[in-house]
Amino acid sequence: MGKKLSKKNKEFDALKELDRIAKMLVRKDFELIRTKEEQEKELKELDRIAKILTRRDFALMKAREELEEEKNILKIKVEARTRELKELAEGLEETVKKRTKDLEKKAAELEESKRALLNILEDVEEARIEAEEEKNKTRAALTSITDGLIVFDKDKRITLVNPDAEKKLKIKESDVIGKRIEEILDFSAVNKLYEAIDKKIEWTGQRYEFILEKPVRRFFDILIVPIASGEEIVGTIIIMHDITRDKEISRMKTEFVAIAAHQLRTPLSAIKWSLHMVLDGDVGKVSSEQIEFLKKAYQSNERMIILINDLLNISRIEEGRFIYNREVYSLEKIIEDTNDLLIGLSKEKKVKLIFKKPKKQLPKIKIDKEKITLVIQNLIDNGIRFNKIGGTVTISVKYDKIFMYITIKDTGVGIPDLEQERIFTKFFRANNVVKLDVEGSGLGLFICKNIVEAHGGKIWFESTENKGTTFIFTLPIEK
Amino acid sequence: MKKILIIEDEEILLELIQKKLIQEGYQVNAARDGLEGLEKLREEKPDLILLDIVMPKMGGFEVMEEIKKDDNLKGIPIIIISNSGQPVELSRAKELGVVDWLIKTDFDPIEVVDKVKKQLD
Repeated sequence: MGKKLSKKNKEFDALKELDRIAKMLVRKDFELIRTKEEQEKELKELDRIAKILTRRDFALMKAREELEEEKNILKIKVEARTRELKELAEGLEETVKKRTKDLEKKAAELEESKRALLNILEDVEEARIEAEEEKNKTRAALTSITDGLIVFDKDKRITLVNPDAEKKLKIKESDVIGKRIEEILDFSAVNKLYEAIDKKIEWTGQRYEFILEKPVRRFFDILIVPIASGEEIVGTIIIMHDITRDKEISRMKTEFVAIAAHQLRTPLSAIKWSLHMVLDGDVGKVSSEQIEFLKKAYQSNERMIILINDLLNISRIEEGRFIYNREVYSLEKIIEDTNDLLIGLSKEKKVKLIFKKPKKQLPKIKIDKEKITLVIQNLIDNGIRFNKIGGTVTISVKYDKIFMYITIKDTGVGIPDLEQERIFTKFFRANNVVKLDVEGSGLGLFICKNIVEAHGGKIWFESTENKGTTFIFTLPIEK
Repeated sequence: MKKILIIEDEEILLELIQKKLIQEGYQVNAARDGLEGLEKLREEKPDLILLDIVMPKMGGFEVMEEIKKDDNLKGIPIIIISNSGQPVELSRAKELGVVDWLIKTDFDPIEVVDKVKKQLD
């Protein structure tokens, strides 16, 4: 377009020149008068010029037309541009509208999300309240427990001390919360507790004893248990259970048993010894009929003595201090001595006693001689007592690398299937046995089981009703 | 003749054992409680003591403590005849120099005599 414009300018310049020439022509009119020749010449010139002018006029017209055309094109272009712009503006508006709509939608969505979020927050709040309530409940439960409790988190920091523990240890929960036990050893009771649990808060399954001297001597059983959430250990609790009363009761029971045993045994021993002396003829002659009666009295007295000894044994078993005197002793000798002791009974019941002596010497074992005697005596005695006339009781011993196996096999009444399970329970007597012998205490096998197990052995049996029973027990061999 | 002192409060047992032991040829003296027993011990210094545990005035354990303190008396063998017999008592008795412990209900007079003979022969 620049090129065209400079062309136009040139044409305007040309027009100006023409104008100047026209003016000059007017001036030339004056000069016409001067010479004809000159006039002639000038006329020709004028004609030429006129022709040029005419041509110029045409050119001018053409230029004007061109200009006009140019102008029109420009106008069209401007119009097109305007339209474009207008369209652009309209498009923009559309876009803006669309954008606005999108934004509104987004805003709505956001509002929705916000509401949802608020709902979630509300739920979370509810859950939090619920958790809080649950926590309070747990706390209330823990605080009302009459055992002392100290709860630790997994970093071993105290998160709860219940009132019972506060009282026992003379501490305030508020003073120790969030602290480790090592930080509060200034409290003397806490220090003592810490010593009692071997200076570590660890779940070992072990029980510790903790004694507080003031204001009165009290005994506590300390248990350390883990708090698990799923598979994760989230903390530990120290539980302090007051066993002062248990200890006192246990002491009183021991004392009672000692006194009762003594008091009961004293008249029984007087009867026993008196009868014995009369039977021996130490105090004069007795008729054979009198001897029979005195023997029966003596036997009844013996049963009474056994019963009291059983009760004393039970009480010692329950105190957990029954086996106290282990020594290396010959099992063979125990069996022989027991057989000697029971030979009278076996003759009376017409039952044959057989001891299958081992061919090789038995390995040494460390046992409480009196207690193992009691086991063997009990088992053989049962075998004889609950047998049939002409039956047998066979005792045999064998061993492997770990255990000695003692077998007592009888051909007696057997143990009814239904009752086999309860045979080792305290005071239990099988039905068929009660009919045969009314006097037993039902303590014998319970005592046997406890003695054998206290030695690290096991006892079991195989039995068929009316065919017989085999009791087997094991004793570990000393290495 | 060997001298035996029985310290036992149960009259009938005392008589029975005394009778049995005299039959066996021992010189037997009797006391019915711990205090009397201690007096008689100091008077006659026996070769063996049969001692009960639960007795009036002074019990068997106190008698043993006194014996242990007395240079003239310590060393005399003691056989306990008692119907008590808790494990704690047994271990304490061992410390005090007891040579045997008989539960009266579990023994008859003949066995008691055997135990005595075993100590004195």
